Amino acid sequence: MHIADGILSPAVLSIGTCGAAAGTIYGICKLKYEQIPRAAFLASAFFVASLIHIPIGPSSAHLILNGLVGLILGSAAFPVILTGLTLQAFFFGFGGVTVLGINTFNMALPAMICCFLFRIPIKNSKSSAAVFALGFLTGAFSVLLSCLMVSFSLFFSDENFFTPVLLLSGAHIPVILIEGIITGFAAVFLKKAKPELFDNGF
Amino acid sequence: MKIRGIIIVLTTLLIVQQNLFAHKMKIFAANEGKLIKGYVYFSGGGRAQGLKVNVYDGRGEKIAELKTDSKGIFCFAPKAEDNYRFEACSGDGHRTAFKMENFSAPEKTKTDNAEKTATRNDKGFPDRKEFAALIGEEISRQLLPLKIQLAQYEDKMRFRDILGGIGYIIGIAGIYMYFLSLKKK
Repeated sequence: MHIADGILSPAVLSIGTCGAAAGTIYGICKLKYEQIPRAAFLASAFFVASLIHIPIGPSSAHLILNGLVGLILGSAAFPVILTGLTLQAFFFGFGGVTVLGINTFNMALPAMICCFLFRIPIKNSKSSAAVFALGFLTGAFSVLLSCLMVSFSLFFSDENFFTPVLLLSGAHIPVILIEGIITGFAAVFLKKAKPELFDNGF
Repeated sequence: MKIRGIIIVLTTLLIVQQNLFAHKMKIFAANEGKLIKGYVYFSGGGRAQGLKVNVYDGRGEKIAELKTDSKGIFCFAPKAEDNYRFEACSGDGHRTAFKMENFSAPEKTKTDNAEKTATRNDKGFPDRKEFAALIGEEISRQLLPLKIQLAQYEDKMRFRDILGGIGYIIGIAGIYMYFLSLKKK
């Protein structure tokens, strides 16, 4: 999921950086004082989740948790994911510095879209099963969307990347399912323990 | 209640940390006699099979295109003493390179018997040059596993990196909260 340095074309890189910068500024402006500890906690979770590695065939994939970040934080997903990715790049060598923008954009935008799509339905649904289903969709859909965005970033940089793109999406099917289940359980728990979390729409 | 939950999650993560793996493609190469042998692998995971490895010379020109076998190993026979760069690109966004500076293949040990006897001195020992070549080849062969081990050791996910990262996040949050609280007053 983390694109490495030196693969993408300058055009794709600059679009990603601009998108990530805009999202981060917007997210920081919207982040309220009392939300900061929550954001920091999710940033830690996001940072560590990338180490949970699922071997698939010759390649490997890891958890991303952007659905959960988006569901809980909404627009603050951008600064949180940017923080997590920066630290991952420096500590673990995932991705790189020049691709920070596009990587943030590819993971945080799906998080925000999922928040936009699923937060209000989760707030309105009464049964735990419905909440779980919607949480599952949040987690699964955000990873799927990230995969597609990574694929497009690669595809627009070099058209030879089409076959690997299919591979990438295939490799992430287990991740999509696992993230769906994790986000589903988290949604059920949060709905019970802290229902006011879903109050503001976006 | 909430704090307890957080503590439980963190301790579980700390316990399973031993089984956590990095997700990063790496390439390693070392000279073995006249050849350069190397492999492409995922740190913590398996080897990358059937992957294209491009070889560049000191001027940055592509001189060869190799493919890794079922064990992720590639083999390259350099023609001259040069700086070589091996680069693997998996296509799904991973790319990795390994630089090998001043590769010099140990000189060919002479196999021709006639020549061999000719270069020997009166006591029947190989001459200086041949001796140096033999030693060089032997040392590079013996050092190979050590080099591999060293590269693997460097890749090990270090626990303090994880703690350091979490510490940074808490620090950033704290500093940001401090500045916001100044604004509030």
